[in-house]
Amino acid sequence: MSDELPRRIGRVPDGRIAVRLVPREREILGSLAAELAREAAGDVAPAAGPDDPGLARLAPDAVADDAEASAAFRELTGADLEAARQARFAMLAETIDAAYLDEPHALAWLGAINDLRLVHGTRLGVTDETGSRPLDESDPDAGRTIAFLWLGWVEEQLVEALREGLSPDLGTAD
Amino acid sequence: MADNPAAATPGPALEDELRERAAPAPRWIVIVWNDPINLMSYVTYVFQKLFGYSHPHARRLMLQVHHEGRAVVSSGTKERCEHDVSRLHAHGLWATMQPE
Repeated sequence: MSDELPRRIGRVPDGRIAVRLVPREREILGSLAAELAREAAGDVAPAAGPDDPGLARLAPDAVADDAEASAAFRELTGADLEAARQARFAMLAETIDAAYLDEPHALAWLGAINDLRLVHGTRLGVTDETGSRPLDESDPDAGRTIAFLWLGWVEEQLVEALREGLSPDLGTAD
Repeated sequence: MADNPAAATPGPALEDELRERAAPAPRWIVIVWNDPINLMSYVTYVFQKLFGYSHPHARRLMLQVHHEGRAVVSSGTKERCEHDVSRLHAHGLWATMQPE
C-alpha cells in the first residue's frame, strides 16, 4: 500500500515528524483511538462482546505452557501496562490535529496505532494475505478492513520516520 | 595451625548447600512468536529500540520470527526475562518466556 501512495508522514530536517493527514483522517483515527481507550480501561463493554479476542491480544500469556504463572505475571504487570496505554492514547488525543509531532508524541501515536491494529486485526481475523487480496465490497467487514489497512499505511510511515531518529550508537549489541 | 575439631566432621548437608550455591541460576529465554498483524518494519524497529540491536541483526531476528514462526530475542535471569517480556507486551509483540 505504501508503495502506491505518496508519503504523508516523515521526519523533517529539524527532527520533528510532520503529519499531513487530512481532517477526516484525523477524525477517524481520533475516534477509533478514543473508543479503544475506553474499552481497554473497562469504561465500556468491548464492541466485540465479553470474550473479545481483540482486547485479549493486548495482554498475551507471558510464560509458555504455564497458565498459572501467566496469570500471576498479568496480575503483576497489568496495571502498569494499561496506565502506559492510556497515557499513549491521551498523548495522541492531545496532538490529533498537530502538523508536527515531537519524538515522545510520535512514539505515543505509534503505540496507539499499533494497539488499534492488533485489536481490530484480531477481531477481523486478519491473515498474512489480507492486504494483498482484492477487497470484497459485499463483505460486512469491508469498511473495518479498509480502516485496518489504512492504519497499517499510517503506521508504516511512522516507523520509517522514527527509525531515522534511532541513535547511531545502536548496533553495539549485534 | 591447630586443627578445628568441628571442621574434622563436616556434615553432608553443608556440602550439599555449598554445591547448590555454586550452581549458576537457571537461565531463561524470551521468545517472540509470529503473528499476522504486526508490521515487519515495526517488529524490526522494536527489536532495535528495546534491545539496542543493529538494524541488520534486528531484521534477521524479525525474518526468523516471520519464516520460522518464532525466535529467541533475549536470555538471562528470570527477572531479566520478565522485564523483557513486559516491555515486548507493552509494544504489542507476542512474547513468552521459558527456562532454557
